[in-house]
Amino acid sequence: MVSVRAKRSSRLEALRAVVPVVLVQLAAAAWFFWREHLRLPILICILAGVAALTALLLPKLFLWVHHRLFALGAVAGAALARVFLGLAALFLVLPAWAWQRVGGGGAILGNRRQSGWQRARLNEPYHPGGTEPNAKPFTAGTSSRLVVAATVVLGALYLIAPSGLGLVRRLGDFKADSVEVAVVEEQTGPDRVSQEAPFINEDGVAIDGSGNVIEIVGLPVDGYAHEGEPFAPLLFREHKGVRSTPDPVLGSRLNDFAGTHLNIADGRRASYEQSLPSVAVVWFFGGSTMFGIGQRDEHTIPSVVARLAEEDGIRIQPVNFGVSGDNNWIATERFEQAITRDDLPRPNLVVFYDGTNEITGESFLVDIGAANSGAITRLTLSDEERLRRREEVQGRTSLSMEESAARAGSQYRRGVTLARAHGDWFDVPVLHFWQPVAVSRAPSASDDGLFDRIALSRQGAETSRAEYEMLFDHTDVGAIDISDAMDVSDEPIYFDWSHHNELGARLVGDAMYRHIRDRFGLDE
Amino acid sequence: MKAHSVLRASSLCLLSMIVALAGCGIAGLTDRDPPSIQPAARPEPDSDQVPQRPLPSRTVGSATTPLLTEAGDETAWSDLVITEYSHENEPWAADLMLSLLRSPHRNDDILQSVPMDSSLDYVNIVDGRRVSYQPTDPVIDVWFFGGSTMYGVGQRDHQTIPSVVARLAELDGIAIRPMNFGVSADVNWQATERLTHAVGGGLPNPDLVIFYDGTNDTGLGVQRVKAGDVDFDWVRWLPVSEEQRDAFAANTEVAAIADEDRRAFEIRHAAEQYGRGVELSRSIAAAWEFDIRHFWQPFLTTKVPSPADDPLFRRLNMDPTGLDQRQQVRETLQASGTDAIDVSDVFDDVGVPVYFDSSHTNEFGAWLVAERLYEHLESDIQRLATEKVN
Repeated sequence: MVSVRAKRSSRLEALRAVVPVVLVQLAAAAWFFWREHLRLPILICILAGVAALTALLLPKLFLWVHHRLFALGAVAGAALARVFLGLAALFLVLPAWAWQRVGGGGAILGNRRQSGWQRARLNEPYHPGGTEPNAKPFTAGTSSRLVVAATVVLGALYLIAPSGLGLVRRLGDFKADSVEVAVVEEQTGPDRVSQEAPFINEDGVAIDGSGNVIEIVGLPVDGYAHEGEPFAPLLFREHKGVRSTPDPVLGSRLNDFAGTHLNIADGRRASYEQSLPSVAVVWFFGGSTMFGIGQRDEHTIPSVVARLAEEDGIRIQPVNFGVSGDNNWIATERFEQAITRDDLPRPNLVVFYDGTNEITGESFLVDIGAANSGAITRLTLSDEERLRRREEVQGRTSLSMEESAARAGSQYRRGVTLARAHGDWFDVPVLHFWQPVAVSRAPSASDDGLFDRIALSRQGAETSRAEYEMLFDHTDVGAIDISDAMDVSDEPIYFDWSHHNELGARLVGDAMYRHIRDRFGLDE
Repeated sequence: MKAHSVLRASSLCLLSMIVALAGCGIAGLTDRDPPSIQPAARPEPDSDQVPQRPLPSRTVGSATTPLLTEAGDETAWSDLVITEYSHENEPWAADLMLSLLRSPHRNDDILQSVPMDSSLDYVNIVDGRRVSYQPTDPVIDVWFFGGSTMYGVGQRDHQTIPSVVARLAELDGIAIRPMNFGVSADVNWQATERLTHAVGGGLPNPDLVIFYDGTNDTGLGVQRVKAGDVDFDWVRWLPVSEEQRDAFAANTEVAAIADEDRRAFEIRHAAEQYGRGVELSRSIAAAWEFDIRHFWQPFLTTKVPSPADDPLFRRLNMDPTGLDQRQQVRETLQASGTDAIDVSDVFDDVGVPVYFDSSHTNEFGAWLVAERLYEHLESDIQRLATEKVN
């Protein structure tokens, strides 16, 4: 389904792209026709027709060609810009400046004393010099035309070159068939306000002048919360490169990926592996925080738990099933698919890590005024989905905070009950953890920078914290609350509403492990 | 208004695709001479005081005379015009099919499609479920899951399989409350997910849960092989619209499958996913403490062909020669490792038309299926009723 929407989206994108192309071609044809050329306008019109038809019937092909031509054009444009700039400086600006310095003047660079166009006298033509009625009116000569044209071209190139260069960088990994960035467009909290960035491309990736990823779908990547993490820009570039395949059952599943800090195989994020053979397999389920946005493979929560276990002499093999956008219900469905597979080693323990996507999903339902129908919902994964869901709501329903928490809590409770039922049937213990989010952390001066970034006031944070706690109260299913896991540190941890740096993963992994270790015969 | 139109169009599209999909594994085009048809004896109607069985057909209706709705419209079901064939003594058939086509469904992010509450001629949906016959003072709750054949494409509300099972139990003095969770195009896994949504969702826990699978599961296996899908890890659903088929193809890692491997792959796809779904539903049954039974349904190509089916084969442009899928179905069931009860032979001795397409039956067909199910369920139902009363 999602793919079909993507196909529609491709067509829309192609149509959006072809309209200016066709308009320019038609304008050019009209101009040539006006200049009494006959064959050229016909040829241009045919080309315009072909472009329009291709965009309509074969949008992917059109976009493929369009992106590459655009990128090549940008390269050529950038090169031309440099040539023009050099030539202009060498042959126009320098001589004109020198001429003026030795006492000349005139129209090209203007008169210092009488610059600008002024009406000299009624019924007389406009004069560039202004006050000399007998001066020859300004007419565009060859040199001036060149200057005007050069100025226009340079201005245009100045405007499009950065986009073109950005596209050139993307040429290598542009795939028309890829549908969704794995770092799905999660809403990152009810009060999330996106940051302004210098240049944001089509994938929502902000890139600075040096080509570094500085923001990715609303995740700022700069020094804040990444002190001592020089790998962060590359890590986030790899996050950006991860793709997923739409899945009718699970929403999405991760495509394999091989990077420096981020690797995915068979739909699961790589984790820390002990050198000795493991004796226990632990499956980890959750959303992007379990997947490990913000952490390298060996520093995600499952990896931290495995390291801590290793220190205690317990050799566990962590398997990270976390996928961005999974709420507890979808994670439970992912668990259902995994536990019924014959080719995966049966786990000794299953861990779920929930919370942020429960409240985020609920916030969206409240925002669109969805009634409490008792239907199970998952987190919407794209703007298209959100729009569709919004349109499907018939009559807005307004729920109180308590009712809203009760709805989300009920779905969570049902999911936990279901997972535990499967755990009993397949003889695997299942643990559910309630995760920390930025607002659940005890107030700390180190979070001032965070709240500034996400434009959340302290009062707003308190309200969000109350909502989050109320939701947990309504789950009433015995999930282990580790939402205070970050309170032991005064360092910046979160770089948005829920995602954190590797220090955060260490603190969560530590809190989680204290509850897990007794499963392996070690008491807390 | 716009959303309503879209939903209506979606439901029309959804329903109209099912028949074509059910027959997706069938190929071959030949015509045969019209057969001489010997109608089999069919049950006589009971008195007005007991549940009404379908009227017997003494003649075989025309395969070509279209049935018209009350409004005078010709109704087509998946491009097949509804004719008297298989609908003798079913004057409501055209209106019923029109209602089925018009019955709205809403998109669901997780379950794909959910029937919307509506009230149409012979087709009523309440709380997202097709209405069933309800005896007074029911003592046990029985939930039914499946695809369009369980939903009741071809039958009025009170003549669907769940309704007939309830009627048969009532004849034995047991009042059950049937709940029809059937939704067109559901494969077993999807129906199982529907069960996970239902338990703990505010309804009283069921005492017995029935799954009725096969057509869509084997159809999905065929579809996956057709798409070149050799990934057995991921669960998939039957795409029911052009868009979903496009998405299905676009999101499938395509591999070349040799012709000689196709059958084995079809069986493996269907069997593995089915086996996993059954296992999952058993897990749910154990946790919520209800009994569960899985049945493997009949469809046209699992039936021993009878002359009465010849007009249907002509309607479908099919050559019955070589269409026998019974062996493949048996192998699929065996490979699934489940103990699902195979009732795919229920129509083998029936000499009158029951199917009006490759999987959907008239009310007589639903009655026969329900009778067979009830044979297997009777002792369970009696035991559960006794336990409940005591």
